[in-house]
Amino acid sequence: MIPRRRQSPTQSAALTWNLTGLISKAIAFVSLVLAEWVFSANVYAVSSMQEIEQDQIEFRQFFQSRFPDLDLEDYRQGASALPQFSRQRSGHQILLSMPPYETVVKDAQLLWKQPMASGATLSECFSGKPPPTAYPFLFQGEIHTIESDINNCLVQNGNPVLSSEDEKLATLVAAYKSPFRGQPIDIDIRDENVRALYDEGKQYFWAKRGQMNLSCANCHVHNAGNQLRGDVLSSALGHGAGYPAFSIRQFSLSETEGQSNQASGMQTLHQRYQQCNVIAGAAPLPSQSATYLALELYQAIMNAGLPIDAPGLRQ
Amino acid sequence: MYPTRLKILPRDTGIEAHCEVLHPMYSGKHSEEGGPSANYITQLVFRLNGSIHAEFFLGKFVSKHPVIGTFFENATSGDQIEVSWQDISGNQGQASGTVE
Amino acid sequence: MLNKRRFLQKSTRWFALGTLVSLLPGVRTAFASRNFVDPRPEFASIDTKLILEFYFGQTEAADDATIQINAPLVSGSTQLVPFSIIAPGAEKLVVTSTVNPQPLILAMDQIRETTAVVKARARMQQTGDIVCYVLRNGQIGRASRRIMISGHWENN
Repeated sequence: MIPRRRQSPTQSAALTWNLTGLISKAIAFVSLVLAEWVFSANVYAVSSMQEIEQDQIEFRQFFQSRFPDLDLEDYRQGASALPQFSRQRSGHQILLSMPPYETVVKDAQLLWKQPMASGATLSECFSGKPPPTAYPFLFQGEIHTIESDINNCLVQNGNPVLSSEDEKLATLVAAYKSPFRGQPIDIDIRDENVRALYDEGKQYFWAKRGQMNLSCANCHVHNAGNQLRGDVLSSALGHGAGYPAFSIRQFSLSETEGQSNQASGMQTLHQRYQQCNVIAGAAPLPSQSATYLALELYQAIMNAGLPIDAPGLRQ
Repeated sequence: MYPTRLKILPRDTGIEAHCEVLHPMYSGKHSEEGGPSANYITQLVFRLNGSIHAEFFLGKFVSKHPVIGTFFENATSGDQIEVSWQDISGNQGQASGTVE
Repeated sequence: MLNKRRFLQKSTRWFALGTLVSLLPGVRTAFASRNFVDPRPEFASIDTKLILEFYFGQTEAADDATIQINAPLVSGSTQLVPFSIIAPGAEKLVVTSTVNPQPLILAMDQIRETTAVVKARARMQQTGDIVCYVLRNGQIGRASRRIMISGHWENN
């Protein structure tokens, strides 16, 4: 057996010195992390209006060089505007000659004029509100979408809230947006809080997540127009302009065992975000959650100037 | 029971009419596993001023919320176009419109 | 303890018995008829000739270039395949597909022999052709169009 050697006094002194050094380094590190956490709002400044405008210009220039034949207005149609969609486009054109969303949206337009429990109508609720081209906007520290405003109005007038999975909500929003088809998106970014939310949405859009390690931008910027199995990836420019949309996929869910599929196919933007997250192997967030609202705001600011095209037709 | 819409569209050489029925068109594939039993539109008739213009016979391979479009070469303004349908479980529906 | 040889012998015997039973007439159709069958014979038929015989009274068809079928090259869904057909001077019109279990999708009967325009949305189980037969002046014209289905399989 090898005899254990005793530590000499000089060795033990060196060890204690090292230990104190380590502890002090750890304390310094922890305090730095804490400081960054406490002062993070001040460390990272909110994007200025010039920076956002520069973002818009760069974003558009990228797509312009990728799809030189497209005008800015064409992007509102989503993937069906891209040249790679040509093989499926005639199908969309036949479908649009007898629009599949027309009947449900007409029915929803009648609902806007129908009195609720308190006697008021939805359209009276929205009389003082900005047009749908200005949504989403920040008011009294809260971000407003058409969906949240409809639900607020329903609650104020003694009606139950519509869940985000309810197709009625999507059709109501589509009915509100459809008379404004063709008007350009115009989001007010003068408020600093709006720009902070823009930064949050931008972070979500470009950050990687999920089992496949994909960000939104991986597919919809760097691979926009490429084929993903049977589908063409849409371009991020124009996302949201056609929503709520008639989703062919949602419409054509099968009659599985014990279930009947009565879906009319109308889908809100946040439902589409959820689908996208699931496809990429990431956990979907709830509709109208803060992150999705920030993402919607980011995409709306990127689309500024594009005409809205709701209800649209999507794969 | 199932809402029926008739859409009349003027074209260069006549009138195009689209009939949309919000009918589920269950094929009955899963009826024995607890799914909905077969229920789909079997017959759909377009009438021009009361007389039959075109008769459609449909099967279960027509998709949900069917839209059927046809053409009226000799329709003029003021003519009445009617559409009526019946499905396999005896439901019926109709809609009508006037050519402008 | 499991005797491997005995197990193999037994399972082979059962397999052979099952195969023989399935060859008996009517057994397979009894299992297949769990699906709903249309009461109209022309819609339940799996033979296009029977359909043509039922509607037109004859089965000989020739290709006809005047029939226009407009359909997408690729459809993303099996449940919503839109198509439109323009057939000048048609009396009767039959639309079938080559991939569905029963080929007949829809049939149209015009009272006057005018231009037939049919727009509809069909279910197609997989990539295949939409074939249109038109009766005109006592003769059957045929046109077809291939549609690729890129959507996932739906049970209908």
